[in-house]
Amino acid sequence: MSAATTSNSPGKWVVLPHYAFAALAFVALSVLLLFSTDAFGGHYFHPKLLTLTHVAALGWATMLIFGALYQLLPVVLECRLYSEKLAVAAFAFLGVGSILLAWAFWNFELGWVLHVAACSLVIAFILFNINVAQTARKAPKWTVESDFIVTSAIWLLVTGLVGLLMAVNFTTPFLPVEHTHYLQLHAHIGMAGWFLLLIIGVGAKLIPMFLLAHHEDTKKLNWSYNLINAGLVLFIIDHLLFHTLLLPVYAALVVAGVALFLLYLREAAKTRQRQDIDLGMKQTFVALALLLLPLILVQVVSSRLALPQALLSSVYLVYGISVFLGFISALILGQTFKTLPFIVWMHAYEDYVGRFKTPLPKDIYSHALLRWQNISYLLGFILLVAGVLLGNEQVILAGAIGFTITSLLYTANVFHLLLHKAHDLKPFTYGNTKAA
Amino acid sequence: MQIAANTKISALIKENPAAIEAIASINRHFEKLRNPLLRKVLASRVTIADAARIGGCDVERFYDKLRPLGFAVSEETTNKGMKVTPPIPATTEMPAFLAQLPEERLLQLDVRADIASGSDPFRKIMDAVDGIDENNALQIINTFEPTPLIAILQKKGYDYFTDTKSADLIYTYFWLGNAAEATAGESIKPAGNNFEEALAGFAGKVKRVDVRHLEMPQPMITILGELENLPADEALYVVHKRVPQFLLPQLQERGCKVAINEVGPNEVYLLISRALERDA
Repeated sequence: MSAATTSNSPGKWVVLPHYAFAALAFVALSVLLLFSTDAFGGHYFHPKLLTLTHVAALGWATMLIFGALYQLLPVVLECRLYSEKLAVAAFAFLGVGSILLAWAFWNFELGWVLHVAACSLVIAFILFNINVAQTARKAPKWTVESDFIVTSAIWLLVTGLVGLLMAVNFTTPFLPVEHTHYLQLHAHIGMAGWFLLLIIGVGAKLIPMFLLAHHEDTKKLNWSYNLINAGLVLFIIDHLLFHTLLLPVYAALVVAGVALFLLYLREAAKTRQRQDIDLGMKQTFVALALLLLPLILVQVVSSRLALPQALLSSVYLVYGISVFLGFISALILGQTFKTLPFIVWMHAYEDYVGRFKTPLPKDIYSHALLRWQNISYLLGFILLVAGVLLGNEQVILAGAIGFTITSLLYTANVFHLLLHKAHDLKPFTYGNTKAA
Repeated sequence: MQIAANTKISALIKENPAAIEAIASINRHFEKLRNPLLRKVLASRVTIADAARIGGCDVERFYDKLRPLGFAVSEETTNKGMKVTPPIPATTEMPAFLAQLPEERLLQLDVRADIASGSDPFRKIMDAVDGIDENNALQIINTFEPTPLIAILQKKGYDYFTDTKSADLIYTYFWLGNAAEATAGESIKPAGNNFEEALAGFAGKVKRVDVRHLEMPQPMITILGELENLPADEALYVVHKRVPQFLLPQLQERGCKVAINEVGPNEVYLLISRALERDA
């Protein structure tokens, strides 16, 4: 009966569980943060910090991106998703892998649980790659956005494989250099290769669309793609083989690539037909502003400045926080309310549009919750960063409380959407009423 | 079979002929379904929601009668069901043309007796319609809103107006409407022959709507809303930014034909028309 079966969009049971899991993972992340205020005083290689990073990167960000991408990929590529079964299987492996990995890191048990978790995650990434690649093969149109998305999936798999090698290395050491060296590799492939490329690919498509802007010149995006990938590949080769002092140059290539993307967005924004900016988009612009922080800090961490050890440690921590709890989290907190309401609305009302008075996507979530979520998020983020830089546990705790409030507001709003049902629709009176 | 408010009555009957008796037992409005002739006319054009409205009852009543026959109510509709309120007496203004029409220029036709005795008044109505000219109108007196008839006459270019006097008494007026709205004054760049031909086929009977300035999903709502009100012999000419991925399946399901003309990355023209139904 439903028209969704004939459109390119996947079933709701493929997409929506990802949003539900991600919201709960974000709550778990905030609660773990409450109990980790003691972990921000030293080196980044700390069980609690590893836990927080991986819950944020996998359970929260990657989980939500998978779900959103199953919905968006058919829109970007204009063809059906290759397999819904693969998507559901990837969801299960990613979910189980994230939970086991968090447990293993928190208790710092680096045995079989960690191995099972790492294998489970790599399987999820392989399934995801098959799905993305096979969908891309069917695509009637190919754009630079597709390049970004498909490449990011490959980098995700590389990140997972490096992680798996490190997990094995904990129990049976075989890697030539100490593991923090590989941790830098693992983290940067994940951040620049997976998250950054994917966000640019999706953002270049969606942000202009939400602003009702149009921008046809993709030259900047092409160069953005080339620069980021070049910077990343050079960094990997150098990091593994040569150990030169050129790291800031590679970082600069990536930064230049991101700058081109931001310029592209600015040019697109100039052509926008929509002047009012809603809460979801405001939060998205906050995220783009927060992106400047890691772009500056990556230069600091890549150039071996002779800073005092304590300051350098906290700069590393702030760098990580600014990526995962800053840019990526801020973006998800905003974009969830630009994508999820539409998906829920589509499934609930597609058959009634034009015949019944239907609400709009913006009518089916709470704007008050979203406003307070955005406020508490920004407060929590600023307090957390300040607390880390000042080395003050009370301020870090205040930041964690801000994140906890944010996560609860976000989750309440997401579940309010997920449980939405069509009800009390009034039909248009035949012919005598013009559709509103 | 999954059913919902937008399921056609004919689909129910095709699935399980026992649905005829089940619906007919709701109230006497639906007894005409037992008449094969009327059934043919009504069932294929009327959805459950339409029928509930015409019969002045709740969609839920249909579901209650149909569930025992093995029909499953689609989960898109809540268990509470969608309240379809019986029509309130029309408060819309009578069109100026009718309001100023002298009494003697109104051709009256009362079909209540025919409906009650189970004979099809269709031919009688059509003969009366032949008598409509530029300066008169036909008034049909009936016990329900003649949805299928309205669809047929709209296609022939008649304007109509329904006046709900009470739950059991409905006046429907038909008269010769003005020519359709003028088309867009912009020239269309050559596209696939398909689009050009389709457009030529509707010469002078095209309504233009520009949805480029609307945020998702407003374009879809606007287009589907316009289509519900579009006379059957007219087409909707849509100016859009992209080929609408979510709209196309909807149009397919509603039996519309679409011709697409992609002019550029941010300019797409769509010509949407109702697939012509065969006159009953």
